[in-house]
Amino acid sequence: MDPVEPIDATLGPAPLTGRRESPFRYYLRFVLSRPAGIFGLVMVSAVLIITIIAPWIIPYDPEKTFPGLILEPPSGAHWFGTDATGLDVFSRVIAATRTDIPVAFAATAASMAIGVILGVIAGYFGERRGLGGAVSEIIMRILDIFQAFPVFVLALVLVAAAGSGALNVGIAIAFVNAPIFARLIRGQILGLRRMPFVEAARCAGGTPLRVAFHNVMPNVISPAFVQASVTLGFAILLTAGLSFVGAGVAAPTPEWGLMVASGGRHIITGEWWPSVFPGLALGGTILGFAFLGEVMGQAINPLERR
Amino acid sequence: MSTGNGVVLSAGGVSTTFFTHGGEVTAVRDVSLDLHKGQMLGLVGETGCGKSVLVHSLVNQVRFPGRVVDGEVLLDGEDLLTLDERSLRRVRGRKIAIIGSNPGASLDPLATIGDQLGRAITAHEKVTAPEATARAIEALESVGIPDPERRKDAHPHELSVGMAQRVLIAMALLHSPDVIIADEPTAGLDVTVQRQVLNLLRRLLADLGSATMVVTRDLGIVAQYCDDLAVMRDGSLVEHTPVASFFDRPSEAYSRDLLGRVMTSAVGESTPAPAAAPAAQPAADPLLSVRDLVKYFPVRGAPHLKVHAVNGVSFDVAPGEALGLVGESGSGKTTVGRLVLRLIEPTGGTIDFAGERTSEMSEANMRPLRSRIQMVFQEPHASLNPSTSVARNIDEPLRVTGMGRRQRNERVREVLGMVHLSEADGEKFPHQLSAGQAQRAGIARAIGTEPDLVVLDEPTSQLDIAIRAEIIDLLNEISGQLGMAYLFISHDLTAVRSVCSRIAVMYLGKIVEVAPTAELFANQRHPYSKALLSSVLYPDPAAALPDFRLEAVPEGCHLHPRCPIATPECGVTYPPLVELSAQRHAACYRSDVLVATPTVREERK
Repeated sequence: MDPVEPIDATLGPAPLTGRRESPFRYYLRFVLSRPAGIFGLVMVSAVLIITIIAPWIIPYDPEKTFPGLILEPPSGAHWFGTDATGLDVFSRVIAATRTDIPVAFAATAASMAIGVILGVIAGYFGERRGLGGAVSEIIMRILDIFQAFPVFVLALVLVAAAGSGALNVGIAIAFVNAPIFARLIRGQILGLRRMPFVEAARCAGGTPLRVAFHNVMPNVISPAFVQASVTLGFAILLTAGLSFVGAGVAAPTPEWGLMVASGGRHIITGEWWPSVFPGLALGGTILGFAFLGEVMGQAINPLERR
Repeated sequence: MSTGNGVVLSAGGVSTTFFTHGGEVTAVRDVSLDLHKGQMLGLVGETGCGKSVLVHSLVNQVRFPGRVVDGEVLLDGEDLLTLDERSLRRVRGRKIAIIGSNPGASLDPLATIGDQLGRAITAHEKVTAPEATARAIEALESVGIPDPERRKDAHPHELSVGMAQRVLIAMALLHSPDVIIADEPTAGLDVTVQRQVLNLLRRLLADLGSATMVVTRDLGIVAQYCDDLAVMRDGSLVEHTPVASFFDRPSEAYSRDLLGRVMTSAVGESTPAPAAAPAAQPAADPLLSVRDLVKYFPVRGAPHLKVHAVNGVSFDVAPGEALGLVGESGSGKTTVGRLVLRLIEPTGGTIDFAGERTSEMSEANMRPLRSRIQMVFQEPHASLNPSTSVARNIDEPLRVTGMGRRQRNERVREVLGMVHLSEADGEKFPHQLSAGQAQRAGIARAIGTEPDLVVLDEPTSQLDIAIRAEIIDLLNEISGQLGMAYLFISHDLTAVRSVCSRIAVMYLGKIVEVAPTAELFANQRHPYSKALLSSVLYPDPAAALPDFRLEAVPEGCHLHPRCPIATPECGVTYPPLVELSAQRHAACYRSDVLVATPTVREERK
C-alpha cells in the first residue's frame, strides 16, 4: 500500500506529507515575503546589534558633559548635537539601548514564564469541578483584576510602591503583561484539551500536571513566542514611558523616555534635537518589534499558510 | 443505460493543479465525464484520489492555491470554467447544486433553518418574505422533516445529523437544478440514517429528473443507488461503466482490486475467523465486569434535563475475549468505553477490572492500573500528540511502568515491528503519516504495556475501506500474539464480525441483545438488532425510521415507536434482558416472534 498524498480541498491546503521545511526556514521565508516583515526584521536586528556593540561605537561617554557646549545643534563632532547639560545626544541615544532593551527583554521573559504557567493551569483545569477548577477560577479572577487597570497606570502604581529604578520597572512590566500570555495560552488549551491525544495521555497514566505541562503545553507555545515579540515593543514603550513621567530610571543614566522628557521643553525655543532623536529611536524600535510580531502571528495562523 | 442522449453536463479534459510552496501537485488529471438527465453517476475512489477537487472543479470553485488549468465544463452551452464569478453565482444553486458532507458544518449555526432556506430562495428569485417562508416549509416537508412549521424555527444544533443532511438536500433542490452533485452525502451518518437519506435522495431525483453525481468511498452505495459508475485514482478516471457490468466484470485491474477488497470485507471470507473464541467458559472469572452502569450528562442551559447516555448496562468480558459493542451513534456505546477507562465518571453502577472495583477508585489509585487497560481512538491523527515523534507517542504509556530508557526504546522498536511500521516511521511526526499508519501507531501505543484489555473505540470508522481491512487483520493478528481482551466499539458490523466472538447490541443507552457472533448474524432475537443488521445487508427502501433525540427517550421499550412487532405492553415497561439460551440474552417481550420469521435473504439484481 503506497500512501497516497492527501489532497483534501475541503480542509484547505493540507501540509504535504514527507519532507517539510524546518520551522525556522518557514518563518524566515514568510517574514521576508512581506514588507512589514522585512522592516520589522531589519529594525529588530539593527537594534539588537547596536545594543551589543554600543560601548564600542559611541564616540563619547554618555554621562560626561561638555561644559561649553550647551544645546549645540547637530554637527560633525556631535552628530545629534548636545543637550541642555552639555551631554552628547548621539552617544546617549546609542547607549540607551543598554538600558531599555535588557529591561524589556527580561520583563517580557518573566511575564511569559508567569503567564504560560498560569495559562496552562487555568486552561487545562478550567471549567471543571474540584480543586483544579477552583484554582483555575481564582487565577482568572486575579488576572481580571490586573487587567481592569490601564497598563500604564498599574505599572505606575507598582513602581510608586516599590520605588523607581530599572529592576522595579522590569518587575512592574512583567506583572502587567503576564495576563496577556495567560489568556492566550488558556484559550489555546481550552480548544485542545478535548482532543483525543490528551485522553490518550491520561490513558497512558500521566498525572494531571504531567499531561498539562508535558503533553499539552508544547502544542500551544509558539503563539506565546509571537506574542512575546509584540509585548517586547510595548515593554520598551513602557520603560520609556515610566522614565518619561519620572517613575523609572533616573538621570543621568541614558534612557530614551528620560531624554524625550528633558529635551522636550527646548522644542519651543527651536532646539529640537535633544528630544526628536531619542523619540525616533524609540518609535522605530517599537514599530519594528510590533511589525515582526504581527507578521509572525500571521505565519503561525494555518489559514495564512500557503 | 448511458445512451448518449440527454447529456446535461459535459466535462472534457479537466485538469486541476495545486501550486503549493512544496511544488505543483496535480489533483485532477484530464478527466472527461457526462452527466445524463435523470441518471445517477457514482464516483468512487480512496481518500486523496481527487474526488472532492473534481467536484470543486466542475463548479469552478477550486480553492487557492489550486486552479483548473485545462478543460471545459459545459452546462446549457456555457463553459463554466470561462464564466466570471458573477455569472457563476447565477448558475450555482439554480442550475447546479452541491450537497456537501458534514451537514453540521455546512449550515450557518446562527440562523434558523427556515431563514437559511429562505435566503437560498431569495438569492435567485424575487419573492416576498412570507412567500419564501412558505416555500421553505414546503421544502422541509418534501424531505420528510416532521412538523416543518415548528422545525423551521430550529437552529442547526437542534437537529440530528440525519435531519441536518435532509435540510441540506432540501436546500440543494430548492430551485430544481439540472445537475446535483452530492459529495459524500452520507459520510459520518449511521447505517440506518444513511439508508434513509439515500432513499430520499433517489426518490426526489426521480421526481425532478436532474442529472446527479454521487461522490463516495462506499461501493455499496453505488451498487444500490447508481446507474453508472466512475472509478478515480490518483486524479484520473480509470473506469467509467454502467454499474451492472462493473460488478460483473470490472475491466480495470485497480477496479477489480477495489471491488475484490470490498466483497471480501463484506462477506468476511478473507479475514480469519475470530481467533479461537474461548467459548462457553462462564465459570472463569471475568476480566471486566460491568453492572448497571449509568451515565447522565447534564444539558447546558436546562438544569432539569439530562441526557441518558448510558442507562443501566451490564456485561462481562472474559480474559482474552473480544466483545463487540455495536449500535448507532447516540446509542451510548462510546460513553461505555470511556467509562470503562475512567476518562469520565459514572453516575451509577459498578465497574470491576481484574477483581478490583475501578469505578470507585480515586484518579490516583487508578493510575497504576492504566497500563493494563489501554485504548485505541477513533481519529488516528488527533489521538497522537502532534508535537512529538511517533516513537515518543508510543513511549508515553511505557514511562509510568518504571522501565529504563534503553528498555523502553527496545520495546518501542518491538511494537513498531508488530504493527508493521518501520523504525524510520517512528522518527516521523504524526502529521507525516497516512491515516492508516497513524492508526497503526495508535495500536502500537495501546499494546506497548501488554495490557489485559484494549478498548477499541471505532478504530476503523474514519479509514478507507482498503485500510480498514488492514487494520482489522492487524487487530486479529495482535490478539493472536498477545492474547489480550478487546472491547470493540463500532457501528461497522463487518469489522466487528471479523474480530469479535461475542456481540452486544446497544440502543439508546441500553443493551438490547447479547449473542455469540455467528448466532447473532444467523438469527437476531431483538427487532433492533434485526433492523441494524438488515440495514447493512439488505436495504429496504419502504421503511423510513423516524429520528429520535436522546433527551426524549420514549416510555417503556425505547424501540417501541419504531418497532414493527410492538404490543401495547411494550409502551409501558422496559423489557428485562432475559437469557434465551446459553450466552444469548435479549431484551424483548416478543423475541419468540422473531424466531418464527427468519430473515429472508433477498438477492439483489
